[in-house]
Amino acid sequence: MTILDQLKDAVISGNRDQARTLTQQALSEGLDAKMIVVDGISAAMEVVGEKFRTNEFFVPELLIAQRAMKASLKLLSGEAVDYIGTVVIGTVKGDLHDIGKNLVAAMLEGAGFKVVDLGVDVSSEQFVQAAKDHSAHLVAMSALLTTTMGSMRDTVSALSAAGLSTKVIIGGAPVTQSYAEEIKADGYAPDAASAVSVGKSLLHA
Amino acid sequence: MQGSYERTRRVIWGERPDRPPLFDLLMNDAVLQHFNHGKPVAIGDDRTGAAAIIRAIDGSRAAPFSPAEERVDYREDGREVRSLRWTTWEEKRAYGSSEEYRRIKRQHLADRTDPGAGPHDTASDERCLRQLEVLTWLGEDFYYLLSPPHQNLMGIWSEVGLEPFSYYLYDCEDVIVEQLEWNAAYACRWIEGLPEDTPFDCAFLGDDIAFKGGPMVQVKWLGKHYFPRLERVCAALHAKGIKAMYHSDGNLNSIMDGLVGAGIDVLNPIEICAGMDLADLHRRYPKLVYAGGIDVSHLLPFGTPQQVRDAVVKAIEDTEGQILVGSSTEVFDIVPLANFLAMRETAMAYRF
Repeated sequence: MTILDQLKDAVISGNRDQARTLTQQALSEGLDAKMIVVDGISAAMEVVGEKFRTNEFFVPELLIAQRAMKASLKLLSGEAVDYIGTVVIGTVKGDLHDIGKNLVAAMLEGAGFKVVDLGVDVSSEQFVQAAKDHSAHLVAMSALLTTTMGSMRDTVSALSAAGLSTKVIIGGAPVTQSYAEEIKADGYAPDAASAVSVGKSLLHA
Repeated sequence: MQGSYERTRRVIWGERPDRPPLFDLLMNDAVLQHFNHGKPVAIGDDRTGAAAIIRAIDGSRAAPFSPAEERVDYREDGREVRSLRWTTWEEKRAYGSSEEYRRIKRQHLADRTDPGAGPHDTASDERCLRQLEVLTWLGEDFYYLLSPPHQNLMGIWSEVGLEPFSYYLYDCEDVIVEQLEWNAAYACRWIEGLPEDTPFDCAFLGDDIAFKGGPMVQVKWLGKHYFPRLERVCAALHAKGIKAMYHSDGNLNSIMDGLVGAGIDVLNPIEICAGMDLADLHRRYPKLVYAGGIDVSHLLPFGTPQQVRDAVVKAIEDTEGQILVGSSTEVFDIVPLANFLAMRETAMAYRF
């Protein structure tokens, strides 16, 4: 088994220490950082996403894989890595739930996106400003409450009014495909795993 | 006509009522004002709020009866507690590491009274006394659920947040299970300590363990560690002649066998938006009673009154009347009064 296969397994199984060790070993053996990300980490998170989609993995398995992924990525932070695109993500104004947003952020990061996490209770203005500041390709919004969903519409409008071509993905418990169409969001992700495929398809990546 | 208490009791105990009862949480200023003779319910005025709720529906469970003052407070350890009008947010407790979590939690468990040490004086317990006090406001004809302690997996994960909980589940699963065991053992003692003449005949076990996509944790983990403890709590309730209403948001389809096998009698709130289907559930579990089921993510806030009426009739017929009609979580402020009234009036007019 190659070292990248072992790294992939370590991330899938959530073994943070092993992921760290194997990443260090891969770097010391001269492997390119991009290759470590693509063939080790992203490959692992793709498997994790699929297992989550098929209910083999649940939230804890996804989060410990994310923890192992982050441990590995931290060692690569000084290295040159090509990102698929930049995503600004947050939970909308008035909503303090963060778990859905965190899961999506983890999956997007694992898939090779650069993720700018604005946290919770994020206003339309903050989404727009962050999209400008980071030249974001995507804005991803999460809402867990019907009462806060409405601000997604405001953000879509604000991005358009600002003249930005940033694509918008939405998700969360009360959010549906038809709501996404109603507010003219570009994509709807019913769960964290599908956010990656939706994001990639919007960027034709 | 039957009273609210009798009507609701009949459904929970498997009998036919005169009409479907209404069971809900009303966290809606317009609805409370409507049932308070057109006057708003003031902040903190639980008694007036309770009086309005009694006029509106047949039964409910422990929840705010009036809006709260919006404020920010701080716990002794500095954690923020944000009170909003109808809900409260508490900052999660942070532990430095899994090792620290294990150490502190083990110490907490050791410091608490041994759950196996003799009967619990529940009648003098603050939690019990408070609920009995609320019962006096609500009167004898309102169906109000007992809120006992229980296995409380939600309490364990929500104390720290789902992300740290997931790490602790991986790094120190034994401590998670020990807390679950302590919670269940204490709950059983508390229930066993209820006086023989307790006025409650149904208990609310609120334990959010699922999302839209399904359970938070592995089904097999729940089978090994959670359902057996839920079963003990349900058995303790049944031994006291009390039915068990189990609450979790989210899609519970993959764990319904476990829940029903553990002995739950009523399922709440049936989150339609998450994929819970009353007709399918009733077919699979014909003896189970349902409380809720009228979608509050989209239908109640944004639908028309006629769509609400149609959904209520469908819910009653899909369950063959084994339902306490109500929202799929609570009737919060975004639900227009007209839609709440449509739900209410349809249930009140329905005859079997």
